[in-house]
Amino acid sequence: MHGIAKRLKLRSTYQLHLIVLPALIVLVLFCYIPMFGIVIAFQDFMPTKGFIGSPFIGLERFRYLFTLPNFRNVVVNSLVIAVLKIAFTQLTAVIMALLISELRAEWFRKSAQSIALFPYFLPWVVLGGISIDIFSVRGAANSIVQLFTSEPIFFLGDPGWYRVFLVSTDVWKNYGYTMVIVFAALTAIDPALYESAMMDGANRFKQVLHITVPGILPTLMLLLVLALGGILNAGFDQVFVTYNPLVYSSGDIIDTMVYRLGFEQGQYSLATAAGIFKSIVGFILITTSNWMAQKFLGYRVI
Amino acid sequence: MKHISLSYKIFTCFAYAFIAAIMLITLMVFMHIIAIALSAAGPAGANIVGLVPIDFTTESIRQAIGDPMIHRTFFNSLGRLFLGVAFNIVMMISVAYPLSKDNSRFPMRNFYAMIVLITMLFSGGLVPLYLWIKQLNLLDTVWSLVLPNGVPVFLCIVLMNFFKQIPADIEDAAYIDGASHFTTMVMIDIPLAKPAFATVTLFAIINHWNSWFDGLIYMKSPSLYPYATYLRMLIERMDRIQSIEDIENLINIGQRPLMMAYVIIGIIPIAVVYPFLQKHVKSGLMLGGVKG
Repeated sequence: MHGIAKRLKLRSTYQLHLIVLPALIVLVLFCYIPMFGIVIAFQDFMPTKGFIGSPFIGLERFRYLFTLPNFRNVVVNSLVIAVLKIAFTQLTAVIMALLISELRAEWFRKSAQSIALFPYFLPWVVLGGISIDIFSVRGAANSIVQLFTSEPIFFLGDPGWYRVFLVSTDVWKNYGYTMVIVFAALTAIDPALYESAMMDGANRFKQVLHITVPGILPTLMLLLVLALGGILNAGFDQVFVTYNPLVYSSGDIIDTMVYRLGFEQGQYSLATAAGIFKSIVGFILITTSNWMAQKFLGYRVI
Repeated sequence: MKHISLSYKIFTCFAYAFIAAIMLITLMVFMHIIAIALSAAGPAGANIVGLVPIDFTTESIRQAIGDPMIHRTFFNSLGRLFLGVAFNIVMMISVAYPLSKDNSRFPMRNFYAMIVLITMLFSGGLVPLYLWIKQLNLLDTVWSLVLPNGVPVFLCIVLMNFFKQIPADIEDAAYIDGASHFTTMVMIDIPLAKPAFATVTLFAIINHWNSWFDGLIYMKSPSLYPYATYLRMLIERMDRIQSIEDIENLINIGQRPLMMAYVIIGIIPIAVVYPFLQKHVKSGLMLGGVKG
């Protein structure tokens, strides 16, 4: 028996290397090689001269980037929008999951979950089309607004309202997915805990407070930690599809600026520098949050 | 046996009403856009259409379906979908199967795992990738939509975790009977992982159908766009009234039913696979390791 076990251990692995090879080639070609493309952030990149021929200018582009008047604004917008989205998505998901789990009717719980999850799978081009229609001045949202006041609200044209629009539509799209994760955490709680709490005379509210909430807390922390890494991803797709110059002051984010610099103005070096700035912040956040998750929750995310 | 207090009963009633209201709002959003698409341009533009069509007409739907661009972009979408999903599946197996072996059976496992995971952490960013695709002469080809997202790392992890659950004894038995790694993979592990393949394939399909940004930057002519990118182009031209002057000019008011018809066409394929998708979401999540 021992002999067989040893032979299994020493079994040749060359076929495993062969199987992994195609994926490695694709990763090298389309992930690793483009990583070296970041050199253009340190160059005065000219498309005609290419990566090799363009002259190096050091950190000049970064210096220029930080002095751009709207750069600070864009970073602040990204942070504010992302934090609001994370907070409200999680809050909505938890409240909805707790409420739905209290309900007895199986069909009702199931259909509520199905309806809540559906928008998650729609892309922002579709939801953008819908939300622009509904939140435009002659849209359904303003029909409701006009029940209370005669002044229409420019959801897509007023900087203040635009953020409300971004956060609320994003929560509507995404809370269903977080809710499914919270449900999974709920079902993992040992039912015996509730039974003994009931024996001790705890009412439903106390059970939720002392059993359910601590039970799902690790999951929530984990989601939060994961979200921290993407804190500068304020949702390129959504903003790109719905924004316009009137709301740049409150809605323009790093990614949309990178797009405009790179693809509309052809400032490849500057756009790459902005992208690098975002990657560095994201990397620092994801490693610290991973470290925190490991230290405080005993969970290795990566 | 269980005593249910009156206050809890009242609470439950409120909870039912509240959840029902929230779900109704979501349903009403979709009913509203369907109603607009099926209404005549006049009432839709005047914003008097609620949840039922006014002056019912399928004119806008027919006009959208008759658009030659929709045929072309739909065809482009299908092309990238079939090619892209097939490519994704091959790549997912290529990553998931070897990495599902533990370190003692495949000593290089952790090294390869790191190579794969690093791509999740770092990227060169949009512009370098674009310039590289351009240099490879892949612009305006379907490969620019297939290759850069060829290895979906998250889905690879889902599949890998499923492979890990298959008891190693089965493989050992096959090995003693003379099967190679490749034979075991094809004859045993892949057939056993069918449910996991259903999950990751559905996600890969949704990803490809929903992607629009890659089409926008890699395709120069709209006739090469996938449908989602075409939809984005139409939305960009959509009427978004932002100021009083715009209201007075009443730009594109007649377009409203037509726009919603295009939007609905974009939803239909997702709505069709949604029942299957939903079933797999839960299992996919658990397998992916996002657990408490």
